[in-house]
Amino acid sequence: MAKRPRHPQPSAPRERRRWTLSRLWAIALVTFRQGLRTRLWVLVPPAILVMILADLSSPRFDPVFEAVPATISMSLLVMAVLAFIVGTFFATYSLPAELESKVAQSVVTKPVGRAEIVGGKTLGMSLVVLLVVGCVGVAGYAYTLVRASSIQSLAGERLVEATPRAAYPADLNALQAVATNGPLETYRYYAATSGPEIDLDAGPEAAASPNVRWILGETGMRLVWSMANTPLQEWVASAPGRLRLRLSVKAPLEKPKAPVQVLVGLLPADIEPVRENPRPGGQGPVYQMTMNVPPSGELEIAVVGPDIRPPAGAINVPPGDNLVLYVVAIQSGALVGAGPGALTIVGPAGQEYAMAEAPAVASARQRQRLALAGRAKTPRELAVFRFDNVPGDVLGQGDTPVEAGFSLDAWSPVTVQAAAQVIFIRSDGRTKTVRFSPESHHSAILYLDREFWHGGPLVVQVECLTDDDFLWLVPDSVRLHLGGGPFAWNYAKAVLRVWLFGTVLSAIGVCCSTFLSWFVSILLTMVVVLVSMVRGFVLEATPLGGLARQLYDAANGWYPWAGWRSVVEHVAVPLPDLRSLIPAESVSMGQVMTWTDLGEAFGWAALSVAVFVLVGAWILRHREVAR
Amino acid sequence: MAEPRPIVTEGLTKTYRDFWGRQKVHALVGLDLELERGEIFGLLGPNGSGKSTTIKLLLGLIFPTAGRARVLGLAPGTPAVNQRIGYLPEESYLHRFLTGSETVDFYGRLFGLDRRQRRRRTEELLDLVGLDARARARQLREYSKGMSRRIGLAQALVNDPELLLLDEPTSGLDPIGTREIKDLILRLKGQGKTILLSSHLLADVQDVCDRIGILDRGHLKKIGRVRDLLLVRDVFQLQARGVTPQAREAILAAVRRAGADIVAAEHPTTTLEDLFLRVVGAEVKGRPAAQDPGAAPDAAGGNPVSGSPAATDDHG
Repeated sequence: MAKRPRHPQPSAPRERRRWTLSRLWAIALVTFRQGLRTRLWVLVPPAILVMILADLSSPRFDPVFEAVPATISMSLLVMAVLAFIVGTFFATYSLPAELESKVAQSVVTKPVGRAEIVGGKTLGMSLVVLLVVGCVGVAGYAYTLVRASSIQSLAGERLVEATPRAAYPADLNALQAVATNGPLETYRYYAATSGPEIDLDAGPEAAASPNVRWILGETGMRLVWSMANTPLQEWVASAPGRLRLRLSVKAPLEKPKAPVQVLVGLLPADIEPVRENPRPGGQGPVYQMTMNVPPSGELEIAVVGPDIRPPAGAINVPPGDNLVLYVVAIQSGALVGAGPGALTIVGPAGQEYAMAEAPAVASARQRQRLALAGRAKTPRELAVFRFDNVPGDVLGQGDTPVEAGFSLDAWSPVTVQAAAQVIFIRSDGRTKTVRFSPESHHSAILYLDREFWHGGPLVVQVECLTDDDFLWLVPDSVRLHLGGGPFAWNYAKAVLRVWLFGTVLSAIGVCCSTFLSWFVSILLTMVVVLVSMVRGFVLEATPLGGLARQLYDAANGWYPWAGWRSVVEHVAVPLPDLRSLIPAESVSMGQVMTWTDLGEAFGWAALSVAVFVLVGAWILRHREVAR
Repeated sequence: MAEPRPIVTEGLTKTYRDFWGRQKVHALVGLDLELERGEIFGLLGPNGSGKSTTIKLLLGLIFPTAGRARVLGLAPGTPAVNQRIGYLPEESYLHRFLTGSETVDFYGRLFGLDRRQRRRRTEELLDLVGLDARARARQLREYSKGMSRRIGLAQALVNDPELLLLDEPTSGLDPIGTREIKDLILRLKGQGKTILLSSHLLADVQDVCDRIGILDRGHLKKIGRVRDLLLVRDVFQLQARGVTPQAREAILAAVRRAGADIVAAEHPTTTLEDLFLRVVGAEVKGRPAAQDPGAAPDAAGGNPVSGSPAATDDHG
């Protein structure tokens, strides 16, 4: 039998030559010329036109505060799209075109390394991106200046109109700032050390019973007991049990004789309860029910196992770990409280398990925001933000008052305009109270005289003064505004970040094109870019997130370091976080991009580019350039 | 230590495969080849015989399926080898958006030449290949095929290489251009360079090569010195000028008396190339390559038999 010939694996020549910048630059320059002479620059005028038309045709609720941020956002968006087009379509084109036309054969037969070829291509693409993004950036900057020039005078006119109608003098502060300084003011924000924490001003009830934790009706606040490490699930597995609650209640001042209603339920801790009662005669499990609390405050709730149809007046214990029992007060103004020992679990055989701890108090949330319910009188909710020891030199010198910004998203189902009150509390207890009308489309600006406060600790207490309104709060809702320097600098930094975005995209495109045809390279680049843009979601929604957490725990156990998180996330999803390279929306709103942020973006971009260049070079070294 | 031979191949084999790894074509089978320093070696063969595959293997553009190749004593395709060789591809595969000057400058940069060296080298080479100032400023997309070959040759020479690999160097050129390139090849040989050229234009190979190898379907069928391979040993040819009819008859009678068979007795013909060069010779004189003292004087049409085998014997 004929012996089958054995074909050795193709062997790639080994490269021992070191990189030289001149060769890298030569290839970059040729790629840049290719971009110029294939007339990529013709993308620039249409992009500028699209930017202007899109900006002019977008509706503005309030041009004084929205026009300039929207214009900046639009110009950055157009630049990012342009960078995406160049990075995806042109970067993937250059190398396959040279391979197809066999120009690559002339290049690789010169003393040039594959890494120099891939690196040079990426650098050349980066220069092309810089050119087109820079041109649109300059046009966008000029256009923003033109738009801004009319805004300042408009703000002046609006100020004259608004002054007689303003509910509070502080409502005019933001308008006054634009009328005086123009809409291109930039800020460095000094965030609160902690907050928001939802607190309750329960009035005299709180003083009378200091160990009791209180919640207020119609605010979404709830009392929460953890059922972990209790025998509840074990006891009810075979036969029904009971939960015995001893609550403190106080009817609303407006309706002192009305019975106090609460919603009681069992749910896993990470699920936010909603106020929906089960339909009568429903077939499914029942996890919560509404109950009237008698004057004694004593409540008994029958509980059954997860797979048992509950009789009337009973609820199911859900399957799973980490259950909580929650109690929500329903009527507006009703106070419900519980202290240590308020909950007892009673088993089927009468056995009892008393919870010694007082319940925790949780606040309502919606999409990561905390709800602060409005109420003009006690009892009422308060939101507390704390600034721990702000250094005086951070606040700057001079007599100008310290500027505090309040981005309180108000929801007013009843009133037309919500009203808010802020109490600034110094460390010595001295306070300053300001009222204003929070707007959802711009920050309210309040001023603190330096005589009142110029550094050190500060507590900011926020209340919503209009009944049935809500203020939605996030940690950034209250912050100090510090001078941010020239707008042009900030804009230039944002353009640089878009360029970094385009550069990393180009590196991805060039890397993909080292082993694929142009068309397939485009598709693969798009997939890589898409996954890179949503890598946070990928980490959340796939088992890769669990893998990353395990790796983090292992690495942190070996050597404690916060940076492990980013490292292990990049191990789990080995793609750059492209989203972090695009300038944040806050830049459009005037927030200064710090040099640290920019440097960090440069670092990540450089690392990503280096990885893609090395991978591309490795692939190119191990493929045949000619067939 | 003796310098290594410019090119050595041992059992060099290349089999092209499809996407699934199945064998498609045996492009080259067990090629054993050695080139001497300073010689011009011609690879001959029909289309698909393995000429270009051999050159691509020697350049590291493709990887061998079996066997091995050494170029200047090193593995092919490494930057160290590429630093010392020049390559003219089958067609001039160059960036079409660059001008002639930019092209040579770009390749000069890849060889690490500094700005002054690049400027000087660009001028020299573009003069050498006969591209005038207007042509130098034009993008390659506007070049004719002949101009593309010239600029291709310029980029191949930018590093003054020891070893030149020329794939179909005269393809697409008019007879004058062909002659200029052949003259240039001979001059490069005169400078001590080793040249491997592949062509299926037999006359070109015969004119310039010292040795040739004939490839057919991947196999090396014949190798040797041009003169040895072409010599017809049992026929004697005498060429003389000013022979009268009487003298001619006397010579023929003497040959018959000596017992030889007369195969042909007629006036020789010149080649079409020589005729063409005589007709348009005036233009050739105006070209830089023709003015070069190294160029053969018969290139301008002086000697009607310069393209004959006897003329190439001088180089062999």
